[in-house]
Amino acid sequence: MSKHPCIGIDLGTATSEIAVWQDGAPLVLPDPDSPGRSPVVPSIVAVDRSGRLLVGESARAYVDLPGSGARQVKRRMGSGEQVALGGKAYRPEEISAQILRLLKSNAEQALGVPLTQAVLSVPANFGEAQRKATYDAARLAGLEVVRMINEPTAAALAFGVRNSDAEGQVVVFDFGGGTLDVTVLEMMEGILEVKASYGDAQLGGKDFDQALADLLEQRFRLAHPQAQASERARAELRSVAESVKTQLSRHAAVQAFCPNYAVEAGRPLDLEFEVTRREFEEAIRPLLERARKCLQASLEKAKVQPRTVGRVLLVGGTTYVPAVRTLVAEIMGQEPRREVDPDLAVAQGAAIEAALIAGEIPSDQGLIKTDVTSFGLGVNVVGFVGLHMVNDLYDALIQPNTTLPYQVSKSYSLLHAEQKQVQLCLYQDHEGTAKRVVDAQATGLSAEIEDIPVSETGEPHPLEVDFSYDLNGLIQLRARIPTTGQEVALMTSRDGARSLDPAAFAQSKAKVDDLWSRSPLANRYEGLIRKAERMVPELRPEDRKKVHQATAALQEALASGDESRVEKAADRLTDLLFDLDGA
Amino acid sequence: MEDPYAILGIPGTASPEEVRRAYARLVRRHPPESDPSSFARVRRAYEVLRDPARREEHDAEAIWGDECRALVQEAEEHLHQGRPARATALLKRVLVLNRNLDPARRLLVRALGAQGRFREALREAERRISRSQEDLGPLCQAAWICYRWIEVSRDHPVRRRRLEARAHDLLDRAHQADPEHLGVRVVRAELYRLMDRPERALEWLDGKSPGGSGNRLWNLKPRLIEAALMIDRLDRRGLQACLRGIEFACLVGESEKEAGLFFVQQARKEIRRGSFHSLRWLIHAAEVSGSGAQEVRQALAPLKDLHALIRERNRIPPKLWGVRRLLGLEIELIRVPVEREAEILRHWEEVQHRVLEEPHRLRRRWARKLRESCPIFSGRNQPLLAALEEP
Repeated sequence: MSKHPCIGIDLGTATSEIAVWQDGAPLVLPDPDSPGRSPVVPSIVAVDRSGRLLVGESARAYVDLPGSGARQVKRRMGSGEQVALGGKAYRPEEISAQILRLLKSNAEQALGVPLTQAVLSVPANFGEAQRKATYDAARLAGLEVVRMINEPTAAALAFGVRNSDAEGQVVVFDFGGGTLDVTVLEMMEGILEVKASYGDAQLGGKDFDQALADLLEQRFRLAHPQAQASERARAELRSVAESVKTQLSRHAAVQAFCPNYAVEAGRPLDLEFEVTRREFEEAIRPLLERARKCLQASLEKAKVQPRTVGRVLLVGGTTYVPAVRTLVAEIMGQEPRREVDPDLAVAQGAAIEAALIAGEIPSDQGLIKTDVTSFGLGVNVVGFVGLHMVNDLYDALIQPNTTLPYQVSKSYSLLHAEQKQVQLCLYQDHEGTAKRVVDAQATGLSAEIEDIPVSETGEPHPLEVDFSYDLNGLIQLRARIPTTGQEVALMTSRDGARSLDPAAFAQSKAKVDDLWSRSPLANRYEGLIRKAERMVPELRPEDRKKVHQATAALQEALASGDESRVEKAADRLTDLLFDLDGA
Repeated sequence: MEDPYAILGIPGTASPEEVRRAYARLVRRHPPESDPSSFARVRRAYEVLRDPARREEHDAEAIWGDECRALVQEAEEHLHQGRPARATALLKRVLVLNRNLDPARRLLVRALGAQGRFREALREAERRISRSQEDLGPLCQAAWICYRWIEVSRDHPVRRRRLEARAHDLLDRAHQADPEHLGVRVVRAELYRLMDRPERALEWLDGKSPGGSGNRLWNLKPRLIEAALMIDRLDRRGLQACLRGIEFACLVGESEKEAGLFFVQQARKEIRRGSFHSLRWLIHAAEVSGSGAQEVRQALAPLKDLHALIRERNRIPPKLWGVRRLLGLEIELIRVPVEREAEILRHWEEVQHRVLEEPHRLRRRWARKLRESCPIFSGRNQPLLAALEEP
């Protein structure tokens, strides 16, 4: 095993998982809070009445109380929106950092070593802003992101690592709680080649829940037009809808029950209906249509016919819904297989990716993966459209779905001989169809050459651009005017220009740490200290002094944040109290 | 570009399966994680060879690229000098070597059209539509061939109707590709005119340009570009009409050169007139038409001096009236037609005479100012300067 364990994290909309590469296979680590020690951690964060932070399974009871819980923050990543939690406003990445901290703490407990780095999975359709927010969330949780891997690619890795002799096209249909991603891959001679990814960033199982909740609510309104439902009841109805949806995957009809849902004329009313699978499927039909379009578009983008696809892998909780499976089977002309675990494959794949990066999987015989960029990058240029000179054209340097690493050189020219300066602004294009910069999104990255001397030949200076984009998302752009020798280089990585500036980061980090310190997990020693305080009055004076010292040492160690010191101090206090208690 | 066959270590005759296997073998040796730059190189080669269309294109370019370019150039010469039959033969040879060379096929359509071989021309134009990346050009060219064929099919009503429907279909698609495109509208209007439905034609023209400018376009004769060449009064609107003609000519691949040269001539006239507004349009047009831009720039050199002169004159205080006046005359000299030059020069003599009568102190300042202001002036009038500076 290398110095660091190879860790992969699937930070999902509805659930999150953490996996480690161990003994030549990925292992998803269990959640100690879950009753059955299942590895699936719900992606929810809440603050209880006493201000304690609850993350994951333990947050369930509070998460739907208005203002005290946060669900589905992944959908708001990179949006700049704020999430209200316990009377304070947090950025989505600050909430996500709490979930990551829980996963990290779980894994540290299971593995017995501190974790500092991990591979994080993100939906293939995540843009730069969302990726950056995810990156920041990891840093706020004290994790260095080794690589971000697209979720469907990770799922395919989980499949590929066990089936490295498989040949042919593979389609991964990744339908999670918040997003839908479809990725087309090709496997040949142990090389897993990602060909194209396409997705709908705003379509997921949570929309199914909402559709079902709307259906129930509508029926309730018909029966009780005068009844008033509270905000909290509505939130509860959504969790009811979620569980009904899950049950409908197994049963043809399910009883939906939400006690004390509304009040009519001072009398509380229960919501109670039977929902059949057919009714549910009717309610989600528009959503299924969107999923159909998405799947068809991605096949088209990869230039793949459904009949040439050898395997279809289903990933993500939403693929348990029978109507989704039917839809995929209908378009692909074959039954999708359950060759990977829909809930765990992404985390496993992320751990495999970590192992690949660390060189744990030998390249001469093991699996090799080639990945693509999920968005294109280009620069702003001036050009002619017919007769009209247009100054906001987009010129692609790299198209979406290009295999990485990638390098390209392009030649441009300045506009006129007297031009004094030139600025190259980098834009990103998700569809691969941008013609003008308004169709693309600004990345905020730009390079500028100033004080360009007047061209002596009367012809505008030429401008040469070298561009490279590597597996780590590192963009290198070099612009050069060969006639004057002027040059400017732009290099950016996820650690550099993309991340928060140090001041904002420190502020955010303090906020996150403050919130985390209110979690019972952070205060694993709180109980110990309280116990010590309780025991003190009953002790002999000389023992009192010892206990006081040991407690103070522990508190000091806790404040310093040095884990090994904390452990030592805690052990000393434990031994002391143990001996005293026995005496 | 390096030879992709050499990078993958396979012969030019390798089958797709062999290409794949060679790639897989090399990726194992240069995995993307540990050897990214070698991987990128292998990948580039593989991407060219895995795609049959790109592989064919690469092969054609590597083997026959230079030959094809030479042939196309030669064919273009023949076409410009009115030998379309010769051009056709050469272009066909090019397309046998590389059937994806769109510029060659574009010229071929032109050459066939010029010989009245419309059936073949239309077939080639439609091949362009299905093969070319670009939408608008091939569609317009095909519509243009239909249009020319309709023109000569007055006695074949059945064929005419068929062609009309075809042309409309093509133009519909072009219109969809770019609803703003004036060239497409103009061809559509022309088509309706041929079909004896002038009211529809006007609708298409006026759809874009209300306020009567449609009428001006209406006057453009079937060969739009020729008409554009005939318009001499270059006000803004007339120029716009010309530009539309040129735009269209560029699309169908006809007469860019002639159009460009015409604009060069016009630019020269305009410089005499000193009408800057029109000039801007002219330069624009000449650059768009792809030829003559250099000539226009050269022709504009005196204009630059003119600008400098005007700027200088406006900076000179009224007290130095003599300098102002002389510079003004310089400007006039550049702008007026040749026949009025003698008259201006007479004025010049008079002013010079009066200037030399001014007191000595002022004369020295004038001389300095004149030297600074304008090199042309000092070149032409060394004797005057010498006289002014005399103690």
